[in-house]
Parts: sequence; C-alpha cells; structure tokens
Amino acid sequence: MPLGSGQTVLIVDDSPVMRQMLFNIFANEGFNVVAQAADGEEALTLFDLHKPDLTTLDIVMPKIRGTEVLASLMEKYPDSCVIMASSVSDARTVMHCLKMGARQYIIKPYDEEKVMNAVKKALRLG
Amino acid sequence: MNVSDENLAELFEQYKDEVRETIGTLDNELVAIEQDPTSSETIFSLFRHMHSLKGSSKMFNVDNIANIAHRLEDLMSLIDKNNSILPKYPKIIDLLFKGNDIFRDIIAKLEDDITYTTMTVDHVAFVGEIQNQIDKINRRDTQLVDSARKLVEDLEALLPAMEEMEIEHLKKDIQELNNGLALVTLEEEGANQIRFNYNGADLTDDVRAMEELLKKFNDGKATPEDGQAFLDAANRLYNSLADVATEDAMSLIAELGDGLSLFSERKLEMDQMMVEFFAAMLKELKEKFHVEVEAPAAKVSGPAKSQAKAQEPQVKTIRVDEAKIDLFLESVGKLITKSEILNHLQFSFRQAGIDTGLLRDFSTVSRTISTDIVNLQRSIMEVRQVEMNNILKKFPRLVRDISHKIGKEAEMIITGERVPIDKSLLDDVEQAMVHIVRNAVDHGLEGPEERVAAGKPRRGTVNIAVTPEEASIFIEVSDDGRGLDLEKIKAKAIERGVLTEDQSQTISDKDAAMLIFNSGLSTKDQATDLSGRGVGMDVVMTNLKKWNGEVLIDNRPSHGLSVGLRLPVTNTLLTKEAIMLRVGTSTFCLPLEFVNEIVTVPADSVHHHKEGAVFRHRDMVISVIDLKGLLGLSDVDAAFYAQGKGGAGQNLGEFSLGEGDFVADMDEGDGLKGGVKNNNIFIILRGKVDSRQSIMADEILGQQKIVIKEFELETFRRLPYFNGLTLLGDGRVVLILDSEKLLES
Repeated sequence: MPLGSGQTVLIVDDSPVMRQMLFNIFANEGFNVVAQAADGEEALTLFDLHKPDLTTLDIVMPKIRGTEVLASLMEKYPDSCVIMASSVSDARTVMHCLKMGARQYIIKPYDEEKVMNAVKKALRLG
Repeated sequence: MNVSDENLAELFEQYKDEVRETIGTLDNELVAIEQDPTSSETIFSLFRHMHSLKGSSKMFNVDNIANIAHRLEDLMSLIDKNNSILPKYPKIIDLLFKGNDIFRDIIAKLEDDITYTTMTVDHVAFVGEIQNQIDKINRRDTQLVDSARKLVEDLEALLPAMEEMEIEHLKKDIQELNNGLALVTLEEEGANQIRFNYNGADLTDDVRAMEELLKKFNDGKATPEDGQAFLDAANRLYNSLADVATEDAMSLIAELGDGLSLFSERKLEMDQMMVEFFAAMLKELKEKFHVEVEAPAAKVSGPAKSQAKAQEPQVKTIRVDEAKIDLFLESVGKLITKSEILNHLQFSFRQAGIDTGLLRDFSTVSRTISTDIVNLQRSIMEVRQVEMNNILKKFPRLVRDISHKIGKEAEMIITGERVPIDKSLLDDVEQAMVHIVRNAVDHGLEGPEERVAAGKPRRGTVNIAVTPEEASIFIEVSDDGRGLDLEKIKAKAIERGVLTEDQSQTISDKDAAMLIFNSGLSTKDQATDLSGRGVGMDVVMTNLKKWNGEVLIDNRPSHGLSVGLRLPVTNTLLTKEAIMLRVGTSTFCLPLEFVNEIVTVPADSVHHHKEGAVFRHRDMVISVIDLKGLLGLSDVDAAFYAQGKGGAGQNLGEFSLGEGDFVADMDEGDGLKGGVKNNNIFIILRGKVDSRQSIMADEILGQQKIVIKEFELETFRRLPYFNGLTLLGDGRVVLILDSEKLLES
C-alpha cells in the first residue's frame, strides 16, 4: 500500500539529482509532486501558486536560504507542512527550523524509508 | 518498497553529470578567488558547492568525494567566517585545486568502476592535509588566546590600583576571561580529567553517560534502548540544570529543553542528526558548567548574507542517450532519401506525360513532407547542440596551471560561452583549443620582466572569443605576447626538411606562420613538458580538416598572435544541398556551398594546356578542373549521350546564383540541360570570388537534398577527390566531390 493518496508535494533543492531522487520516492508512494524549485526564490513563488500539502526544503541554496524560506512560509501560511531535508546538521540550525515550525528535519543522506517515516509523522498518516 | 535499480542507475548518471558540472564551476571560482581572495561572494559559493557535493555524494555512497568535500566544506566554512584567512594562507587555494582534481579523477574512474567510492591511501592523506591546514588556522586562534592571557596578566597587575573604584564588574570580567583561558588549557591537557559542575551540582555522571551513548551512536552500535537511555540522561541533566540555573546559563539550558521536547513531540528519529545535535549541546554544556565562559556565538548564517549570493541561471534539462539521437537522425536521413524518391517519381510521372489533379496533389504532399522532414532534422540537430561553455569553462584553470608552472602571469578573458556547438565537434575542437591556448601561454606570452621591459602590462592576456556566424562558428584565440618569430620557424622548417631554402625566400609571412601547424616543428629551443616538443599544433589542423573547418592565423610580431578556427555549422548536419553533374557518362554530386556561379560556354572556349585547363571569364583567367581528364573517364560522344537522354535543349547562357535560391526551377526536375546540344559545357565557379577556380561539367542534372554517407571502407576513404556517397531518388549511388581536395590537385 502506498503511503500517499495524491497529496500534493513541492520539492525544493538546488541539486537536480536530489530533486529527482525525492521525486521518485514521492511518486513511488502515491504522492503528487506538483512542482520542484531549485532555489529559495522559486520555492516561494511555487508555494504561492500550488499551496502544496507537503514541502521538502533544502537549506543551502542560491538566492534565498531554506531557513529564510521557512520563515516566510510560516509567517504567511502557519499551518503549512514543511520537512527540512538538508545536509546541514548543526544543532542550532536544526533547532531554529523546528522552532520556526518545520514538522520534521531529515539529514542527507536519506533513503525512501527515512523520507517516508518523516512524511508519515509530519502529515500524521498511518 | 524501494526505488528501482534502473532508476538508481539513471540517477547515478545524473549525479556524475552534476559533479562534473560542479567541478567545472569550481575551477573557475578558484581562479577567481585567487585573483580576489577576500571576495565573500565567491567564498560562500565555494562553500555552497562543497556542501552540495558532500550531500549528494553521501546519497550515492560515494564516500571518497563525500569525505573530501566534507573536510573542504569545513575549511571553507572557516574562511567564510573570516575572509582574511585566504590572503594569509595562499596555499589553501592550491589545496582546493588539488581537491577538485581529485574529484575529477574519482568521477573519471567511476565511469569504469562503480565501486571506486572508498577512500584510497591518497585520499586519506589529502584529508589529512586539509585537516592540517584547518589546525594551522585554528592554532592562529590559540596565539590569540596567548595574547589575551598576557592582557589578563597586565590587567590583574593593575587591580590593586583600582581597588577604590567600582570595579566589581571589571574584576568579574577578568575572572571570566581567565577561566575561559583555563578551559582552553584544560582541554589541551586531557578532557577526561574534567568534572562538570554547576553551582555545586555535579553533572559529571550524566555527561559521561551521554558521551558514552553518543559514541555508540557514532559507531552505529546503538540499540533503541540506548536511544531511550540517552534521552533520559539528557532529561535528568536538563532537570538538574533547570533547578540551579542562573540567568546567564538559562538560554542554553532552555535550548536543550526545547530540543528535548521538540524531538519527542515530533518523534524525530534518533539518527545522525540527533547525535550531532546532542554532541554540540553537550560540548557547550561542558564548557558552560565547568567554568563560566561566554558560549561561542551560534552561527546560523544570517539572512543578509545569502540573499546577495550567487545567482546562477538554472537550465532545465533532460538526459537523452546520445546513441538514441544518432539512431533518430539516421532514421531521418532515410526519410530524406525516401522523400527524394517521391520527388523523383513525381518527376518521372510528369515526363511520362501524366498530368492529373491527383499528381498535383501528390506533388504538394511530397513537398510538404520534405519540408517537415527538414524541420524535424533541424530540431534534432539542435538537441545535439551544447553551449561552448562546455569546452570553455576549463580554460581559466588551464591557463592558470600552465602560467604558474613556468612563472608567467596570465589572465584569461572569454566571451561567447553560450554559442551553441554540435556535440560531435566538442572533443576535436577542445583538443585543438587546448593546444593553441597552451602554445599561447607557453610560447606566446613573455615572462613578467620581459613584458614590463617591452612596455606591456606585467600580466599577459589570453583571449578566447566565440562568435556565431551565419553558417559557421568562429573561435578566436589571441594573446598579447611576442608573436611568432617567422625567421626561426623558417629555419626550423628547413632543418626538418619541410621547406627548401628557395621556398623560404619566397614564402609569404602568412604561409610561414601557418608552418606552426606542420607536425614536427617547434620554435622553442628548450623543450618544456608543456608544449615545446613540436607536437600539438598539427593536431589543430587535422581536427579542423576533419570537420571541413579552416584555420586562420594573424601574426603581429611583438604584439601577439591570433589563431582563428572556423567551423561550418552545416557540416554537422548530415544533409546538404547539392547539384548533380554529369561528366561523360558519370554523375557526381557537388555540395552547393562550393557553387557561386554557373556559366555555359562553348566547349572550345576552354583552353587545354599542359598544366591544366583555363578559360577567360569577365577578363579573368580562371583555371578549370577537367574531371574527365583527372579521373580518366571515358569521353563519350556528348551528342550521343544527349540523344539517349533526350536533352531539353534550352540555352541558359550565363546566370548567377544568389544566396542559394537559384535552382528553384530545378526542384521541378527540369535541370539545366541542353547546353550539350550546342556543344556547350558548364563551368561551375567556386564560392570565393577571388579564387579563380572552377570545375567543368557536361551537364547540370539538377539540385537536390542529399544525405551524405561517409565512406566506411578504408579503400574508399583513400579515394583522392571524394568525401562520401549518397543515394539518389531513383536509387542510384553517386559519389560526392570533395571540392577542397579537387582544388588542391
């Protein structure tokens, strides 16, 4: 049984490979990836456009960092469900994101299982 | 359920592409940072790329790249915090270059061996090198500690004198500073001796327990129970701290509390992140509770910083196997031939006197098909195109490496990165350019002193400019060095038997300069390991010839050399417009690009001499290539031939070709015949106005699109005057004349 049932997903990562990887995982699990953003600026635009059920957010990106994207999103859409997916693992950044309202924080490298565990908890599924 | 293996393999290809792209970008950024070592923008960008490399490499278990990038990320992060580091340690840039070379090497090796992902001895040594560098930078901070200690001593000496004043807070400050220094010292002496206490509460056991557990997590030996035990210990620590905490320690303790509740509330996995989180917290707690020191300022990169950072254009791409495109193109090639068959059929119908509405429909459809196919072909060719940047991005690095090696100073200026080029040309063009650029730096540019003495800027310039032209691209590599020493080149050429003494007296400067492309010539007496061995430049000529390109040279002695490469774009297409010639009983194709003008003249106006044939045209004597003589074709009676074919008999006299829009009529299959009847022949004048060269034919049969098949057999490739063959609409196989080779004859 796939975990998802067509929930919309926005993937934000500056690496095309990472985006493709997350795309495969989400598609495989019955989610509907509606958009992919390669930097913080695109992320904000695409979020406004699609208002996705779930967003995965990288941190170190061109233009606007993920932490600032998160801050803007939380201000505008406090209920949005964001999973941080980054290789930044320093305690302060993790704390900062969780405090701001990120539902989950997964650190690269992640696999399908790790991503889906985080998604399950973030969306309170299953 | 997991993402399928096929997906993973595809992703892995993408990963390698991405790393390759990053390597190219890094090269350029490293060259840039060398010139401006304090540019916080470039520093951050380098940091970001190392960070991304680490992330994606971890994902694909490419441990060697991940580890090296991780360590380089640490290094860049230090530099990002303090941009005065690079000017102090210029060796770091060499270290970064070396790292990039290692990445490049790993990616190349991964191509043949997908298990080349672990750290080799060299990789471990390199990581050690980076760590040494990091330690060196940090030690500098230790020196700061030393001077601070001195300051404290001085201040303490002053204390008695300040007794009367309100100096309690000052005393405290000094005490704290002193304690901080004590911590640094203690850590050096052996961290395990330290006990942790805070306002009388001994926290050592909990801290030790947590450290033990963290070690287990790090070693991957932890059980779920260990996770719980760890959280329990952390909670105990938090509770005991909360009881005793004073204001200044509160924020850190609050943070730990927040962490604990957030982690349990969100049910985060006890994974590497948790381990790192608590490790960092513990480290701070240890510092905090052993002695009171200011917690190191938390560095969450600020908003202002990243917004101004690198704005790179993102191009969305899909990956298509090159072989698939080639297969596709081959099919299109076949389609083109088929559509020529349709054209030919249509022509035959009309000749047979069939002219119905149906035939006219057929003609229209067949013409539409031709157009569609050509459009299809064009768009596939565009898919094959990549930006020149694919080649160009490696040159700043190349120039830097060479000039460093031989003690010159050089700057690289590049324009035209986005000009498209066919992928199949890439390797040959790149190879040619590498030789030219190497020669420019190695032979062309003078050393800094010599340049200054000559009144030139100390630093030499190598300029690469790529310009798209209508049917070609033009790549110019120029330098502001000393130019070519033609006398030296000529002397060398004579020595090597390339030129005779006599020839050297009469050879033009341009031709003498072109000698550098002759194999076995070198102008440098002392061979360096770069380009002084006289090999290399001949490759330029070979590679360009292969694609029907031309090499131009502009030598300005003591001002520099400029080498131009012109590559026809049309040559990368496998179809060409061509005219069909009849010579005797044979039919040949001649690509239209050769043709500028066709004139019909009486056969006897061509004068045959011993050295060849000529004819007079608009007061110019033009040499004529007589294919019949050259190829030894049987001289069939033209009238007989004309009778057999039933020539249409119209004398077209003289006409000129515009930009290839002539022969609109010919498409209908009428051809230019009939000259034969009046015993006239056709003279085809080549493209260039001043060339005064032409080819003679008995008949022009028509113009059509041809699909060029290169000779596959070596025997055919050795044919002197042809460069391929094509299939005509009526099924005949026809040789394609190589106009360049013909004119050389």
